[in-house]
Amino acid sequence: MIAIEAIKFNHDSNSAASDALNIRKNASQFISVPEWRRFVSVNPEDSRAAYAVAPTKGKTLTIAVSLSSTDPALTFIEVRVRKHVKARPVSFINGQTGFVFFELIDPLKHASIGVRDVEWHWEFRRGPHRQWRHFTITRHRIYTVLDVPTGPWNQGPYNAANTQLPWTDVLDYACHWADGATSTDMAGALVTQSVYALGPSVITYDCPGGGSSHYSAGNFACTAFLDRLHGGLGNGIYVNCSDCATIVSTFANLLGCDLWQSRMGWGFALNQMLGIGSNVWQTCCGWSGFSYHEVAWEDACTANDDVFDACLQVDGDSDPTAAPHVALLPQDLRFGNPGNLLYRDRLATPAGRATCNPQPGTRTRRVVV
Amino acid sequence: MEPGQKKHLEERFKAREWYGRSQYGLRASIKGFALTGSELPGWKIQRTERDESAKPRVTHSLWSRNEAATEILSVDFWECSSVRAADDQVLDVLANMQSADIERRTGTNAPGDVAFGLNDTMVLFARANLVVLLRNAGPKVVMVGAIATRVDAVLIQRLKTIRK
Repeated sequence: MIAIEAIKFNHDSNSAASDALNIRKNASQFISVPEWRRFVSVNPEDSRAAYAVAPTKGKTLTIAVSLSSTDPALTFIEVRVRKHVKARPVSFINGQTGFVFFELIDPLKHASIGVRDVEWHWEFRRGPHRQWRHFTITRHRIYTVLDVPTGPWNQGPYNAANTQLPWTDVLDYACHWADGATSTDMAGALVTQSVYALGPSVITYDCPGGGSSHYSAGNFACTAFLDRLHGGLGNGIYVNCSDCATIVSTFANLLGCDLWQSRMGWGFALNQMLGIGSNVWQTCCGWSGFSYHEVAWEDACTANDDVFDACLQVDGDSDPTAAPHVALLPQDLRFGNPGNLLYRDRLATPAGRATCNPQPGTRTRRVVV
Repeated sequence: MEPGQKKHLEERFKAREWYGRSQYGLRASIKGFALTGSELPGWKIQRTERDESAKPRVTHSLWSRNEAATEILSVDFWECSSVRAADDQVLDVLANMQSADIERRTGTNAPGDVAFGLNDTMVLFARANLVVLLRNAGPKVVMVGAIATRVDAVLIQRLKTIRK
């Protein structure tokens, strides 16, 4: 009897070019390697691996597989998974192969974000002209992101104490939200749309609390936010702009985007808008203005850089200061200067634009906890 | 906090009028404050988390009042090193509130040494070295003014006990 004993997807923790990324499940659970183990891994979610498109482009991706045989006469076979794992010969010594490298067949052929559960049907043959014979099935959950995740996520040090390794609990949502995205701008936009669409049932703008931070005061309470996404209490239903900016940038950066959380201010009057969870055009919660506002922002977070704002929809027509309104969710929209009819003009009144200035000194990426 | 935002908040909330002052003196201090669950009659603690690594130390708590858990209250306590540090923390909390309509509460019923609020659905106050933020976390909005007064009474009792 031939069996797969273990499979390592992330067999080189110092590189993302020829194998999977360093990942963990969430703040408390580490994913150890080998990711797939005989008798332990049954369902796809028991064996997770994430690949980044950019660093693996043009490279051969490999996995390390350990096989065993109970047939003492069997010393040499070929092994493969049709369409997934390239065939190669392996030798048994005392019934074990140790870890041997197999090449994956075009694993990232779509070069787009996604998460898919795969079922690999392993086959072997005793020689080049013999029939291939099925011997086992392994199941895996494979995440594909566009590039190596950026901050707050990191790739090292690779150990259980590093809570900033990419979380698969976040990848489960982020890859679904940005499914099929082939560029970072597209991924950021899809994440922004998905976060805004969580209102009003999952999260809604914090009118009763004065627009206070429930998930992002200090660190990003990502565990609590995931609990909220799963239908739990989390930190409650309310969010503000900092929460939305943090959620968007953190989830998008896990997919290879390069966004920041950054503020504008201080103290400015607002045009009418649709806050997250609301279908009423008004200045946010009917207030006279914002003390500050925060968005997911590209590059240096200046007037010349683009923003993604899942907290509110602005008026996207030629006159954002008056009805009628055309709802526009700011996605990859230049912040701009007064009179440009870009993000700043759509958010702030003509009088408020002068004090609605980018504050790049506030640029940050909150740690996930 | 970004210096420009701090300056904006100090001017907007007239920090000179209240910064570094406490009814119980600048040395008034409550150490090791911990929730027992009895602070808010009629409310049940759903979750409490004390972050010892945060500076200042903070306790986050969520309370519910009805079976359907539609009325949920978020109560945060920061334990600061001094009255002045507590007032700095008040500004830090205000720096994460977007509304331009938040106002200082100065009436006789206002809790704490200094208090801020919006309508009666959010209250932030400092009492001695402690900062307390009460706000809604559930879909059914509840009034928090009376609850803030109740929490403040608990803190005042602690301060009086310490003085004895």
